[in-house]
Amino acid sequence: MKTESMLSAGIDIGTTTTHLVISRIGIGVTEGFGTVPSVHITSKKVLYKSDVVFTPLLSDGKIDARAVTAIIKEQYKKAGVTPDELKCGAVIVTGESACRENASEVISSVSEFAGDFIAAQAGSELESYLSGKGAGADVISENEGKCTANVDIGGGTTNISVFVNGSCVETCCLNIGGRLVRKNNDDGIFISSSLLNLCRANDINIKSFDDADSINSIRKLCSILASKIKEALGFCKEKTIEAELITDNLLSGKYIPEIITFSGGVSECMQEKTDNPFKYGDIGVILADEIKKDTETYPCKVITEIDNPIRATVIGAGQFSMDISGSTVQYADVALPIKNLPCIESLERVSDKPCAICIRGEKSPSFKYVDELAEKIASACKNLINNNIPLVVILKEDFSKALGQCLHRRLPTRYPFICLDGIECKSDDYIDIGEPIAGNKAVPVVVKTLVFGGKKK
Amino acid sequence: MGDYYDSLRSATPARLEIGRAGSRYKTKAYLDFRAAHAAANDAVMSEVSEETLDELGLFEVRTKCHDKYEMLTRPDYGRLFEAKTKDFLLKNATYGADVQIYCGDGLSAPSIKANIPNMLPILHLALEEEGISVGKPFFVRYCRVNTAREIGPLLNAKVVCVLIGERPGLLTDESMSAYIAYKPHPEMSESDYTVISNISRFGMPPVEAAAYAVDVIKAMLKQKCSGYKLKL
Repeated sequence: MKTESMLSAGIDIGTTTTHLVISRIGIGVTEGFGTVPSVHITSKKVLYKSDVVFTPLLSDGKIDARAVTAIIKEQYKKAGVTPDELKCGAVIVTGESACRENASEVISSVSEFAGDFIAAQAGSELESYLSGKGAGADVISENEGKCTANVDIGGGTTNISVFVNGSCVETCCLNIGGRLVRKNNDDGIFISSSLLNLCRANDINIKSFDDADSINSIRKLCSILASKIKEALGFCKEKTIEAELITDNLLSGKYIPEIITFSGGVSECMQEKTDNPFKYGDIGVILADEIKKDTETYPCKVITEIDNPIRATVIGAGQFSMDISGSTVQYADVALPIKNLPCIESLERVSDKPCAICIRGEKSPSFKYVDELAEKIASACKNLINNNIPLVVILKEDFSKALGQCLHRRLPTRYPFICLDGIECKSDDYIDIGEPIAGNKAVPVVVKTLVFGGKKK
Repeated sequence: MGDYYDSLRSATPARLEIGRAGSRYKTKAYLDFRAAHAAANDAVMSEVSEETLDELGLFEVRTKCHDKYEMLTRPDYGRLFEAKTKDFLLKNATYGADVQIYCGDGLSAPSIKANIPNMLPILHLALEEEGISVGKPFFVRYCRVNTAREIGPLLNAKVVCVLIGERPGLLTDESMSAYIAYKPHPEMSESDYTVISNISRFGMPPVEAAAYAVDVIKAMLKQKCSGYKLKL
């Protein structure tokens, strides 16, 4: 087997902290007598873990894009990498939605520097997925044959992802995090608006981090939050969880986890021994303590000792956001990489603007089907072709080379196009396509579901 | 654990977790196995009908073999042609094309009807678009791969591509392989063939295999070699 490798960066800009990891992704090409070559990701190795630094915020609570870019620049330097060496990866803005108001601004500022093929990603669903992958919950579910959920507790949110046999079946996100109650710059106490009702209803009064009453109140709040996480995992009969604690949706209850893993900054505190419960100027340490206590009542196996829990999301972002297309792609005269292309499933929606046409396609289709599909695509893309915009077609089923050849006949001479398969995407997703790899047999692809902060419709 | 076995089963068409009654298969598993075995036998012994050849627009020649039994017992006859067949080919086939594609029954007659209609148009259209001349396709009855060693020099084709039925297994009796060689000749070695195998609706889709074969053929014409020497 021939192998090659590419460097990948995962950058996590969270409510509390910002950090990154650099990984090496190994790509193998298997060729043999009588077989069509196939291209796979064969290994993933973390090469560099950056310092974990507090996310610089502006006075209005938004993220300071310029300062974040400076942090990344510095960490690249420490890692000894330059942006043009990084061929894949992702930057994500995670956590509390209030801080995410300028997420797209931050991401565009960061991606300008971060590297040519660093994809910008956001959306609580994707965060949950990536943190579960980064924590290794997918591998546990596959190896043990048991439904495994990862709970990633950060500064602003708790992301839950559920895996069965290695695949993610469900995700959910809660507004529970270690920094939702924290010290202000002026030594007052900030309490996130999503917790205010809960505090009022339970007679919780937090005035400072010093007096005994307040500390008792914080314990009480954290113990309630811990029970909400247990409830969200499906371990409680009654559903009492408040709407303002739910970022997107709850789990369906269809999958009951048999193994739970914990990741995120707060889970890091579960492993850490400290005498100062307010070491970080927030309730993270106490929240970790209360959740750890609560896990003793979980009716399943609990793993709190994964390596580097705080880095789960960033490892996920760096190592699991990329896919590799099928190894029989067809392209010509097209400039790669292509970034942020909106996906369109219906041919009627193709206009004169750049887009990727996503079609599932029949499994082992007939020539007639392929030829007619090529005709339909070519005629639906007239306006695109008049404007000389590259034609991008993405299939799930394995016939992109056949379709590409049928399309090629119908396009003007030397018209830029790419047709690839093995990738699943849907309308409203965005897609990045990287430079060809493995002797031009396949291309790396990132499918993004971009939802900034907002609730899922 | 039910889900776990479901996912294992769906990962392969092999007969996994089919159960047992005492030391024997269950009745359904046993009957399925017998049916698949019978289909495999039939695939080897049955003939490609003239009707199928008409539908595909292929004319027919046959090797030195007189029937399937002779083809199975005399591999040497399965790669040779009578003198009169060679004359017929010279009169009716294309001489000196860049690429000559033909189909052979090999060990699976059903593979012809199942795959050829979806492969030939892709091959012809894509190659001709590149200005590569493709000989008129035909069908060889009682055909073995090494007919290519005779056909290549006879028709003076630069590249010969044999689409031939594979030995059937218990999963499908429709699998086909493409054996492709640059300037094949009687003294060539087996490693001079480039092969695309497992072409069927259960394996590599026929349309995609044909599209891939187009790239392979283009690479052969450019590099003037095939098999292990060819860089893809």
